[in-house]
Amino acid sequence: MTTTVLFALESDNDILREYKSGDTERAVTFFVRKYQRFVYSIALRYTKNNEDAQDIAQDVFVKAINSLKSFRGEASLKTWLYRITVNACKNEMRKKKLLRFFDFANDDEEFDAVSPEPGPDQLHANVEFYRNVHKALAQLPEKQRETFALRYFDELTYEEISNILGTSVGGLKANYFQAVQKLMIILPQYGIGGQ
Amino acid sequence: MASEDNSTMDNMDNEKIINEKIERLIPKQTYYNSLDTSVKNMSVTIHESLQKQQQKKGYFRLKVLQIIPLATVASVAILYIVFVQSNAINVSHINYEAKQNLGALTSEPSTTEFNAIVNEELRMLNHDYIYQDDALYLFDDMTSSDLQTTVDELVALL
Repeated sequence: MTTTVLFALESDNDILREYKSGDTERAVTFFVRKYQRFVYSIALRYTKNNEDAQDIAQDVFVKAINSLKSFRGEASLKTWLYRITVNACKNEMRKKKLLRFFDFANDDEEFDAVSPEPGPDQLHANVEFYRNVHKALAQLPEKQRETFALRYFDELTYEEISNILGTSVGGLKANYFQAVQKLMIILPQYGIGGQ
Repeated sequence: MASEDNSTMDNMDNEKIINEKIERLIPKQTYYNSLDTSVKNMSVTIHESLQKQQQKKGYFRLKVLQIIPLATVASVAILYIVFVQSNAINVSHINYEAKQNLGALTSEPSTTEFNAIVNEELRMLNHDYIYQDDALYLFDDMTSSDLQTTVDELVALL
């Protein structure tokens, strides 16, 4: 009896090779699992709304998967996804702004990270923590916020962030340092690390 | 060179210290766990979206395949009407005119008939002329007193 061992697709190259070879379903699953957190958190940082962020993340993945075959690999998948996501977010925000101008949309800018579902206390605590972290991050200027999030949460190298944001490595280091300094002050205001 | 290495090491140390500080405030794993709550079903949703998209594409293709024969038949019909039928109408019209001309040609009066018509026309013209002459003669034969009488009668009548 032979057994087929399904190796996890770890690297971007593995995912792309598998996708181009025709086993799209498995490649898509690994692709989404690998980057879902990354794409969703970017969308959330920009839209400040859980539902919008989820919708945008789904759209981004669908778009990315549809053009995965033509992906030339000039940039990393992460950089490519970051750009698609930021563009999608900016489009969505522009649309919202326009709706708000005509008074069709709610003017409430309150951060809606996750709608807490009824569940265990731990889940609720996670949601609360996460919401506060994002509220604190939203206080930072865009460049500092993105530098901090990409470096700290997504663990990108400064070179990768430099490719994404188009800022020099030195500038990014300064941004990161300033972001951390500010967060040290802001986070306790949201009940994080103040005790 | 050695000083550059030292500064890189210092930078790395600094960042390590900073990261430790921030890690105490925002533990990465807690952050990731909370993010995972939001994205837990994303791959399923995306698979569903892709399937729907494929179905839509398939439906569209099917519709196109259904429409193509209909469109072809309709185009052929339109072309048939525009070119063949209009040509047929033109041809029948030309035929009709040709027939008319031919009929006209065949019903063309013979020289005798033609001469007769011409004579008749001339006769009519002559007739008018004769009448005019008659009137002239009529007045010519009158004496001036007759003419005066006639004029007086006419004035009386009027």
